[in-house]
Amino acid sequence: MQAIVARNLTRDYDGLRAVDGISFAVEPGEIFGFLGPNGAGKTTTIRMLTGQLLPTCGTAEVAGYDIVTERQQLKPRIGVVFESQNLYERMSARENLVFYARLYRCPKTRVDEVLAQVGLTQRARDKVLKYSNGMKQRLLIARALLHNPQVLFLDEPTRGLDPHIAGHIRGIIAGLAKGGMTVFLTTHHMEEADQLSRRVAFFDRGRIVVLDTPARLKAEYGRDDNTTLEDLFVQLTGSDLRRANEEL
Amino acid sequence: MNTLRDTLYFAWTIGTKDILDAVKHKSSRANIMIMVVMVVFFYWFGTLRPFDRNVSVVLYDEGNTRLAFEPVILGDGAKYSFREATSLPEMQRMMAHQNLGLVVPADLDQILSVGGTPLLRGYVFWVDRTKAAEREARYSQAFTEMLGQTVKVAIGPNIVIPQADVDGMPATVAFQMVYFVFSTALLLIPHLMLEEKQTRTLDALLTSPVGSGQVVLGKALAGLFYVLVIGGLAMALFSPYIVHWGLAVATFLGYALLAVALGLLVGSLISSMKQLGFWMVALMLLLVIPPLFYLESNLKAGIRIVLTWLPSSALASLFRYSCSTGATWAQLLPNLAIVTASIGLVFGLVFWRVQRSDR
Repeated sequence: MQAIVARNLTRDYDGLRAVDGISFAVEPGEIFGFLGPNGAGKTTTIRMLTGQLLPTCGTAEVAGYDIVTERQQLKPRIGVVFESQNLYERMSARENLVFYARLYRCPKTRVDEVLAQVGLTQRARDKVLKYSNGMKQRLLIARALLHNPQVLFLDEPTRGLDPHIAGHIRGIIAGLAKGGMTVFLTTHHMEEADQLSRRVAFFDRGRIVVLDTPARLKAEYGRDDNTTLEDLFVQLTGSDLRRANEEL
Repeated sequence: MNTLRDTLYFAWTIGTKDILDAVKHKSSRANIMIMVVMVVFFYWFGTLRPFDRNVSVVLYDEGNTRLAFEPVILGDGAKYSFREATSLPEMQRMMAHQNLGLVVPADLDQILSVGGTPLLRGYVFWVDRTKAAEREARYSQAFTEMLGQTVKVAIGPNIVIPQADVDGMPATVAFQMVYFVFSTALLLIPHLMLEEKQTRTLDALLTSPVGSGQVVLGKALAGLFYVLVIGGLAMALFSPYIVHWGLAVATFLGYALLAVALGLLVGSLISSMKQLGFWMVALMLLLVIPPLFYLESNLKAGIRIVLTWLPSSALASLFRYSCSTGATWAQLLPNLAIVTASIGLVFGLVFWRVQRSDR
């Protein structure tokens, strides 16, 4: 069984097509890089796959459950790290996690485990208000891991973080995939996507432009051996921006 | 599909999280304290009126005696003023704004002329029922001073329960309940939803096993906490006025549920504190102020018909009936129907709003 299967997934907002009939599949234990410029529809795709948003048409299954008709069964099987740092800031990290542990009906010992996993044990009793961006990001990951989900959605998990923290978070993500967790990753860091993802999809204006392993994409579309994933990303996506630049 | 047990579990988990957060959070505590002070102050200033030493008396002179009671200020500074009724029922009815009903016996002149001690039957309100003995002594002393010879005022079982359709303290108490409960709800409850939306924690909640309906129920539970603290305090202070406890408790529950639903609806509609200010003023004008006029008996019929449909007017009427006697089912049922329908409608709107953000 595949971890994620999307078939002709489409979403319109007020007549504008944000996601335009995308189809793809993600294998269990795979880190799947979903890469696109700002406004390409990445977050909308994640919102659909996590059951937060209804597709206008098309279907998808995540962890074997339909995102529309089996949403309630789907929810305990997915973890989501949102683009925004949506934590209860007046509460401590531990209180945040205990609250979600109760919602997911996890034992409290799990809170200590995930705190240790993201390296926040020492600061667990501090209010989130006092946390740095990097600590908040690690806490978001801890929250998403509490219930040991089959599929983890990460929406730009290293955005705005210094290289040390970003590296630490990448280490966590790689470890999760090694443990068998499927990771759906969106990021603007092409090096990060290249380093972590088994396969990547370039996504632009609501459509998947290409989808393959980073190595194959470089071989097929690269101009030379030194072509990076970032070069390919610039080459294959952002057509609107390129056109605007040319007009200037 | 979540079972009822799951629903209650999730609602309890979310509700207790918000209640603990409110108890720990300085500004929530300060808001609760402001409301507590307001309730106690209004009760002390508007209901207890400890500074008010005036005594208004409604007289019913059984024998049309020659005695004329004029306004008088006694040695203790208490001012006594008098109005006259032509019958005992009229006297009881006229007592709406008065402290004491007094029946002057037909043989008062004769008893006074022979130096006897006349017995005046006194009537006090339901709320003063526990103070009858103290009032007997006080009024006996006062009328002895007024008439220049010993007079006894006997109250005993003469306790007057206010009529449902007259103005007076039941209406004042009913309006204060509307004011306290709805102000609390509008001041405190919208934040429960607004914060979840502003910080986007609602997204995280809705990707957890919790459904939108359970989020609303959890928030309603936290909102009920605020309303029960403030409204419960008001209810405890006003308890001496309550005649029909069953109706009073049911009405209080109605106040609480409608106020919570309105608070949550506002929280689900707005996205900033500025908008919250606008909604608070609008709802205070639309829902909280009108019952003040609705409870006045001399309101124009046309305006009364319009205000009848407001759930806050219906709640105020019901609370007034619980503090009075003589209300009929024909008066109670339409108000109960308006309140029940309003609670259902407003909670329905909240579910709809949260469900929309859910999908």
